[in-house]
Amino acid sequence: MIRLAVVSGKGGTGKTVVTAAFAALNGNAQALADCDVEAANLEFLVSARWARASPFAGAETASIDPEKCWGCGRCAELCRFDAITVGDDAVAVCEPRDCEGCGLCERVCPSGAVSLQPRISGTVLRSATEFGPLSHARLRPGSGNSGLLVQTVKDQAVKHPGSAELLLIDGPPGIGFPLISTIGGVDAVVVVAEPSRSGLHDLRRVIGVCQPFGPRIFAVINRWDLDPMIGAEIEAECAARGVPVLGRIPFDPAVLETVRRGRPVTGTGSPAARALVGCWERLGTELGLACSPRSMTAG
Amino acid sequence: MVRQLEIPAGVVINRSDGADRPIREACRELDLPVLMTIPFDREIAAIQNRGGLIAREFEGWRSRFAALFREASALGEPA
Repeated sequence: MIRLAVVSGKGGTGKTVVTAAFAALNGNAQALADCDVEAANLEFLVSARWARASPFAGAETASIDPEKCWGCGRCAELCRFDAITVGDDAVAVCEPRDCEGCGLCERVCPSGAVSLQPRISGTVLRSATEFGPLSHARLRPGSGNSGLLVQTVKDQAVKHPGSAELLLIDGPPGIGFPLISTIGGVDAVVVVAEPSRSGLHDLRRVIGVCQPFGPRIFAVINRWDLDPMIGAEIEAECAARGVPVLGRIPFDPAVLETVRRGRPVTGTGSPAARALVGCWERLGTELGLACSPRSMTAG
Repeated sequence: MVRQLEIPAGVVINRSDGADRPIREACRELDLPVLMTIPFDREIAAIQNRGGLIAREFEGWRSRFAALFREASALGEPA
């Protein structure tokens, strides 16, 4: 199975639109994974029907048994996150939002009232879509461990691959832990860049993070006609780094329109759709996927 | 998230093509004021893309951003 991740340094460059287009164009059996767990929305473009949800416990949080607590306040005094308060009833209470799960309170508690409990910080989902099974997740607002959740989403996708020849991953923006979790073990990465100063800057950074992991790296320039001059700079940058540019996608109102309707843009035959077909054909050839794209009008 | 942290919040709608009724309805339901709407505009995109500031370079936006700053600063204060 070929593992392919669509990423971007900068947010909002069009990763999910590109991923959904590739999902719709790939004629081979595939599995999908949405590793942008902090803002997961591939499901809205591939008509996902939730099939299975399971809780995700990324970290632990202190839980204080009021029956056993003496109210000595030692834990509250030592907690460097100020997560514990001792109430008027002389019982210590931990605020999970502030708790980092370090376990110091458990260690210093003289009465054994504190234990570390798994903290549910999200939900891992498996859905059926018209383009294959989708592994995705919901991270609870304010929860950490998004890198671990990304790994969980990816593991789930790989564990139930069926006959998939391609694992297509919608990645996170940025260059941090979620990105690193996403690209570990992938065969190829497609960076979606936009022609702006910040787009060029973030493209350099994301390529820099991906390169040591050793995947083949490709680029797509989205909305390139909004600034063809910076677009040309981005192409020069890609050439200098040995990153093939699969294609340039023009700004196209049809993209917004199809996103609103929750459809991949590829069904429209619009300028962006035609460019994406070109990108996919080139990528399919590069990766050695049997490239028989679905009809442009499909979906 | 901002509710959990009890931080006063408002919304700026970016790249609007005018069809943002669902967003406005959601903001009303969540009791979040829409402080500004920035239209999708090639000139705005061009300024941003080359690293410029529309508040500095685009007629009329300086005062709009100044008003946004005032309104955002006043969010936490009692009406």
